[in-house]
Amino acid sequence: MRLSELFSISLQALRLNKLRSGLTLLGVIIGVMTVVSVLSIISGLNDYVMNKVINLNPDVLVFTRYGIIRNRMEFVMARKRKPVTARDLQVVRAECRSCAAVGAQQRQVATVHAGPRKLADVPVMGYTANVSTLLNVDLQAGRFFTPPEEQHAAAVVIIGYDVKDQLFPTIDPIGRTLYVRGYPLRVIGLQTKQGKVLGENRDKVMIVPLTFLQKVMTSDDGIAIMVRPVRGMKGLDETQDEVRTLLRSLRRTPFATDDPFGIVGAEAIQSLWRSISAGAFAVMVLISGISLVVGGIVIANIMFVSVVERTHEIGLRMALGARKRDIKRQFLLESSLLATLGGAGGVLGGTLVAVAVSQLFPAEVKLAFVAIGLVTATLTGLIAGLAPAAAAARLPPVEALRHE
Amino acid sequence: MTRSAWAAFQRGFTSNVRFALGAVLEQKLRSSLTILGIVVGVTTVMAMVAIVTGFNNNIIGNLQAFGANRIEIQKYDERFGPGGPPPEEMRRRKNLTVDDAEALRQAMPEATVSSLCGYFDAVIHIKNGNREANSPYVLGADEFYPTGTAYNIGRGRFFTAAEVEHSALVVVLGSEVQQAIFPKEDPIGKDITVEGLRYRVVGVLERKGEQFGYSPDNKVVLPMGSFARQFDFQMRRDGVSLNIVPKRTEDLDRVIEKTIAIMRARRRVPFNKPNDFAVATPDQLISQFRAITGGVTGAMVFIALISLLIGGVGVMNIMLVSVTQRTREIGIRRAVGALKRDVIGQFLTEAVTLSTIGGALGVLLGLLISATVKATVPALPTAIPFWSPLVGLLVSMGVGIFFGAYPAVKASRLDPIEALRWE
Repeated sequence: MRLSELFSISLQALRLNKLRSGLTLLGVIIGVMTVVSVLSIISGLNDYVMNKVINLNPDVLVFTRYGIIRNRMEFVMARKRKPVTARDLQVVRAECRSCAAVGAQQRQVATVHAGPRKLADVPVMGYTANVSTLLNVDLQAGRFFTPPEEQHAAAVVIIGYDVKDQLFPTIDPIGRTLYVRGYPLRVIGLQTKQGKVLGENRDKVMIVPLTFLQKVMTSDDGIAIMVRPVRGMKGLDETQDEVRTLLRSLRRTPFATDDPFGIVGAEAIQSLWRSISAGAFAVMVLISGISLVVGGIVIANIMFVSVVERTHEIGLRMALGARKRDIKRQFLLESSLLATLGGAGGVLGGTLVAVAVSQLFPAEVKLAFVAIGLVTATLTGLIAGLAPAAAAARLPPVEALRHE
Repeated sequence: MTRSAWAAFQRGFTSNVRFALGAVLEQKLRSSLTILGIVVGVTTVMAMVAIVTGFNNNIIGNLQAFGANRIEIQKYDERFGPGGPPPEEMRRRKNLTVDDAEALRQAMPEATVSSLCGYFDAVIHIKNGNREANSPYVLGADEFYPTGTAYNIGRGRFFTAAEVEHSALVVVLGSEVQQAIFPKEDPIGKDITVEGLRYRVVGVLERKGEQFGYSPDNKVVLPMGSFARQFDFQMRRDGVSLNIVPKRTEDLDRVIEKTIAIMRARRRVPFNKPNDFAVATPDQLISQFRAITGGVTGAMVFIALISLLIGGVGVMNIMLVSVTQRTREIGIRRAVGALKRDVIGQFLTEAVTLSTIGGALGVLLGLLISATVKATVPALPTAIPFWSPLVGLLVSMGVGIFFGAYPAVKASRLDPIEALRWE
């Protein structure tokens, strides 16, 4: 029998029992919907962590005193290391051949004054002038500082949105002066509103030239050197080795000793995040998969009913020359068609759920999830249809014809 | 349901159940598949609840290992999340002192007050001859430490009041340190060095086991004065923290209140300002922990419930088929005097029977999975809360009622004459 013929027979059978087919569809729809929305929410959450929380370009490597600290032992050992200093930065800048850009940052916390207004506990980021090529820094107004300003430790600052709201609520902040530790700083830029990330307010921040920060505040922990390879992602290993060699030789580290500094790349952070979250996520996907299994059971049940009800029809078909294979195919096609339709509905529903959720929570539907939803639904239908189809094909034609 | 309907329901209940069981048994394949749908749903929910409960119990047990009604006073709250120094207000706070502990002790004879100070930030060299412990941390404490932090002494004794008073050079070892530097011999009475200074071992603490990725057994405890002599920079930086345990549990709330009042007075906090110190109780930590994990566990149980919903859809579907196939039977029943509500009762009972059998099997399977996990994964001491099998059964019954209602009503609405004529 031709496939198109089988197809129209199946569709007809489904249309004949609208309520029943509808309910069976509903089972698959809910199942696929759950799978698709769970996948979207998980992937949205992952992307959120990667892009917002970590905020590190995938082709940038960071060298710091501490690196990633996971327990007290690592912390205690890292405390013995020397901080990464401006001199290290100078050497890396001068010597690293595979680095397209070398920058650095340092973080401090300070109280800011402007006239009678004051804001406490503002993170002050000291950046090199080229940091905008290494990190994502978006300015709403004004400009970033220039290499000469960095070189001369110019007293200029780029402020976050909350600092503007607190210190310059009604006026344009560009060109105004604010005070940190008694030093006057001229505002040259205003950062775009960033919002909160995991409860941390990213708008309460000031950016100053690294050299200025080091002039007015000292730190035990030193700076973080950031490098981007000339060859992009492909050059990560090569560049990492080159900078490691430089820093090790600066510290006169014996060749068998571990690095006396930490290296952080987007990849390392990602794998850390995965190791934390993968278990819970796997369980969620698994549980949502179970609802699809139940949907499959519902399909199998209804297909069995359908086979019994259409015994006479099957007998007739066999009498007219349909082979076992044809009967089998007919019921398999019917069940997988049912499931695929359900899958399509589920993908649609899941997308709607994901869109609704994304108003409050990061969630994103990817094309792959649509495919996963459809394919698993079809597979569910095929597997669920196997036993009923085999049962139908096994019916003895004469008995079947006699069946009322 | 009106009263008469309820009476009729009761009257017909036993026969309904008998009919329902007959109908269920007659269509074995169909019924078992329908039941299977419910079983999978209920099992998933039960297993999830068991695992989540086990996980929670594990953490709560860890939190309570240091005393279920311990009140901890610190300079500032433990901070989670991104680092950086504490905000300015907190940095300006005064240290808590040993004198604070003494004052609390004087004012509250009904509680045990212990002060302690820890040094965690560096490698501490603790040696017995050439054996060295694997970077333990050092605590300074007074003689009330075992009560204050719910520690038992495994061997020997803890410091006496006199030893603390005179800053004696004695030390109590954590069990992990003892294993590292006295693997075979009895450590009591032997000398060890802590950062080069000689101390005599007087006792060993009982083992508590690893918690949250760190080991509370990998430490040594010195008398407060000895600690202050050797690690004075640490004392000056962070001061001490206080552990307060009421002698009778029912005093807990009163002791918390009194402690806060005394500390505020001692630190001269104006009445209209918040506390300039942090008070933590195990209850608080547990509720903090619940707030963090609650969302995830809620989502998991919710997703598990969805499979039960689909199982319910399966019940409804099969009941509809059943109603269609038994149209003639319904016609005959109506013809010999069955009322609409009798028909409703019959089909509703059938649906509920299906889903309840599924629920019961699901509960059993859930218990089985929970027991298996408990036996194979020691980190997950799964536990079935007493309400969970009950809720599993009730919810599956509810699913049967909810999804059986429409088919039952549909059956009752059939025109008796039409139904009789149906082939």
